[in-house]
Amino acid sequence: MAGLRLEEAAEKLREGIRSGSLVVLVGLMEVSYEGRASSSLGEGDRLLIIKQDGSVLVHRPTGYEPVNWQPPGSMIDVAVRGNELIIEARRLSPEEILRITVKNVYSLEAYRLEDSAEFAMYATEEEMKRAIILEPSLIEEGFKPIEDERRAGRAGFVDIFGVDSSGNIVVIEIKRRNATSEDVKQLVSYVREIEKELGRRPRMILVAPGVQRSASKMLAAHGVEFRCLSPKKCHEVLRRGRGLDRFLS
Amino acid sequence: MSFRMKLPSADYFSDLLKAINAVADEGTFKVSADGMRLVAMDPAHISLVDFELSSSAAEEYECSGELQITVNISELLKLLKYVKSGESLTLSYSEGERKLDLIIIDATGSKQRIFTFNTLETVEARSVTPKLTFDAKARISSAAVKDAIRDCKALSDYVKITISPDEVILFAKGELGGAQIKFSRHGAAIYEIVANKEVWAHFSINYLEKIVKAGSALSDEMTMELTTNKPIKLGFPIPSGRLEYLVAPRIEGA
Repeated sequence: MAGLRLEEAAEKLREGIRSGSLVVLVGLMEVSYEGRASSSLGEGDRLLIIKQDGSVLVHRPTGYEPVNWQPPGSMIDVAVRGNELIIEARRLSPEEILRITVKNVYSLEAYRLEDSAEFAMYATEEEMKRAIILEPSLIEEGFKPIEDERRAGRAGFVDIFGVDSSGNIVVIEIKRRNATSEDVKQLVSYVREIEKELGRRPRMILVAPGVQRSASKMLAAHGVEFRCLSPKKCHEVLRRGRGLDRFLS
Repeated sequence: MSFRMKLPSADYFSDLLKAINAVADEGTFKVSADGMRLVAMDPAHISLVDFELSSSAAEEYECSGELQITVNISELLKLLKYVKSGESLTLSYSEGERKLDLIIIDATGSKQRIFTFNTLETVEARSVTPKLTFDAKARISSAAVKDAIRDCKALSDYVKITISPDEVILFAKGELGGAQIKFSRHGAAIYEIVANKEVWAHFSINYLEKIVKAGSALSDEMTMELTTNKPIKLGFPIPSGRLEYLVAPRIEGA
């Protein structure tokens, strides 16, 4: 495979690391690691990834786990000695050195990547909302959702707007992590707008897997109700919705 | 309250348990003077097994009242793993102890093995009574269906099952290619088709495979009941009992 000259590769690597890019190098390399343990891997074609936070991974052509790695914040040094490109990723405490000796570079690319998406185990807030709409009894018996993402004046949008079995209006705010006092304030601000709009005060329900201690006093002070619901439970509800339950009485 | 049932073939009971295990690892047997019944679903609620064994299937049967016995089916199967043909099985349970005794006696009556099995706490689950009607029904060789599913497995995770007045078709398509297995009404694999139109739906091969494999060990013949894009009902006739399954269809975008 035609590739880059080692000096070119070294310069591209240094520039990539300096600019906080994600660098992917495919080439023929040897790997050695010295630290809490020690390992060495002879010559072979591999994938070297240096991430935007300085994490380093060496991947072999098969298998999903890296064969060697260093966590974020490692100091990375790039040098060319003779006909070898040497990349060292060093940690200080505990002292660990991962040394990658590249003999041949098949390809080397650097990328500035953007990724701010939410990683959600089980259900995202959006999915929790869908689960409640699919099974309103998750909130309480007789709850009827009417609208989601309903505007609440200038304060924002309410996750779920509905009525309870007595005909009272209910406003629901969903969080996938433990509720904070900020969440309580947010819900109260939505409800003030809705009260202005409709002329009556709705019930306020904060839905989350738990409540931070600082928030529980606020709940009582503002008359906000709490309903415990986890992303895991919502995930189960959504999964079931895809199976036989829809068809059975 | 107590329950005692003797079956001439421990092997047969093991096959019945395997058929239940094709869907669920755990289940509750509702036992009464008439016999035993179990309805269970897999954790994802894609499939359901509805099993019933009449007291007339047993050589000896005693049951005072109505009992619920919850067991881990896979663990119970481990105990029955080394059962030889000709060995009988007696199940014995007393409500106070909450332990299930399995007594396996060899053909000559000279060797007796007794296993005591801990039962689980019965959790009162929503009683599921399947209420479905179907537009088409076919009675077909279970071995033929088992082979057809095996053929489709290499190509896709899903199989489209079609029942029409003249045929039963299993169809799978994936990246490697496609497979279509047709059974004609007049062929040897089909015993009967009752359909006035064509119906079809897609199902996960994973679930179907387990069910048909276990069911075909109990019965050469099986029934398929289907309505377009609704769950399929699979039945395996067993003497003095009933073994039926429901499998949820996979609908695009769901």
